[in-house]
Amino acid sequence: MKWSWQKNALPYLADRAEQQFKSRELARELKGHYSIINRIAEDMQDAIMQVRMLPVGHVFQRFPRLVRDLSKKLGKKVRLEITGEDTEADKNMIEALSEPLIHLLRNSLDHGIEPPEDRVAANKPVEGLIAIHAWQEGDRVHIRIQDDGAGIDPEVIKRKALEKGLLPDDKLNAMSNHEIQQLIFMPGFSTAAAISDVSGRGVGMDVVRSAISKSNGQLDLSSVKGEGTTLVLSLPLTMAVTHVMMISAAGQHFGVPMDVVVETVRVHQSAIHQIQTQRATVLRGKIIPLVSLAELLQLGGQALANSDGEYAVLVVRLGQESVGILVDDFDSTVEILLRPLEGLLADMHQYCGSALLGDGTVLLILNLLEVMQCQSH
Amino acid sequence: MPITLNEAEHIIVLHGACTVEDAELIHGHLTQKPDWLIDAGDCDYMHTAVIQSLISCQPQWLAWPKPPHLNKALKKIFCSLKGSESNPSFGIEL
Repeated sequence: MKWSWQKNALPYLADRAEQQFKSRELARELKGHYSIINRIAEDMQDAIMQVRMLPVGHVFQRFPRLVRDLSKKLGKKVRLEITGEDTEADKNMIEALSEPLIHLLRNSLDHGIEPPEDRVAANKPVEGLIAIHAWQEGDRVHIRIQDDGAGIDPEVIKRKALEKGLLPDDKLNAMSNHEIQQLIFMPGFSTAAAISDVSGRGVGMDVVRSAISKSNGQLDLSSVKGEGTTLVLSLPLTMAVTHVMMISAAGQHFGVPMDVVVETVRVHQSAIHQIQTQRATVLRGKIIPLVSLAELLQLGGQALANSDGEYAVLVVRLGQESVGILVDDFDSTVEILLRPLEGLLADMHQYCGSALLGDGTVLLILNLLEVMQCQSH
Repeated sequence: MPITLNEAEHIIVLHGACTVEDAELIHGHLTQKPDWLIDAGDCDYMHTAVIQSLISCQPQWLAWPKPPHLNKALKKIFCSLKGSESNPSFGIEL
């Protein structure tokens, strides 16, 4: 922690040497030394990471027994296929993964795979299949849980959402089947008619998603009625060091984890369109909804355009959607040690945590998915 | 400035966005005037440093912020403080 903070102090010192003491040469030397120290630090981090890495199979090894016991209890025939168990991830990440994964697996067994007689009636093999596959892509680990069960019926979800008063009728009718299926992640949503002792332990999918999002991960769901459900978990390789992009909105600085950032673009005000109450722009033929960070956080004021009339848009990937966040400006990216909010502030899920910057200020790191959800509720 | 002082009624009124720069000021006011009330009815955003200042001073609340997530989070925090045995003198009405 101290090491990273001291290291990050050097660019600030270089800036001060240039701006305050007008010594460009000293600034250049400082920056040169910083890049050497940075490289050594990265090498050290790599070496330490190698020691901390564990295969994800460490969590998976509990699954065959879990599936065997549960399928027996539920009177279902299920085959479990595990591949990619050698994929490695940080020890802390693997520990954080364990509970959400077990919950997802229980869900697939309980709600996904049908009883043998239903499967025969639907012309499916008597034995259901749950396939778990892990793989690494860039600096993220992905785990896919796929079942060939009943899938999620959008009509059932729609009816439940209406009964529970989660969303109004007109809004539900305007949603696609995929969007309706995502409603199972809403707080207080449970489709099981009776609470079973297998998956319905009062822990909803919203808790699973928020546990994953707390570790900077994402959970995507896709399901076809009658064919099955696929859940893809994506997590950073490590929780130890996080790259964040610093942004500013209404004069305040915040950090956004780099792994949700797709790109940074400047959009001219004439390219921003108002569609009913929503602003949007078109990037490479794709419509990107735009939201202002100052408005999301209710900081007061609007996003500022630069002298050319362009707005700074941070395009982020939240779940399966890309959203453009209007900010005042982008700043540099920094490597930080993320400290989750603890104690009384632990429930403020809009923030992933905080980090100490090189100039001694504290940067709050936003959890944009939660910020957007707070706004929509 | 998102902080105004109502001298007549001994109320610290917070409005708009209370940023990290305001945390020290709020802490200063509350340290000097521990019996003053907090009216955050028009406050839309609170930096976590502001919340930490309020936690450390444990003032009495006249009005909570309206944004639901902030309202809920603050009530939860101050309820747990009220329930904690280490703060028996804490007397807010929730």
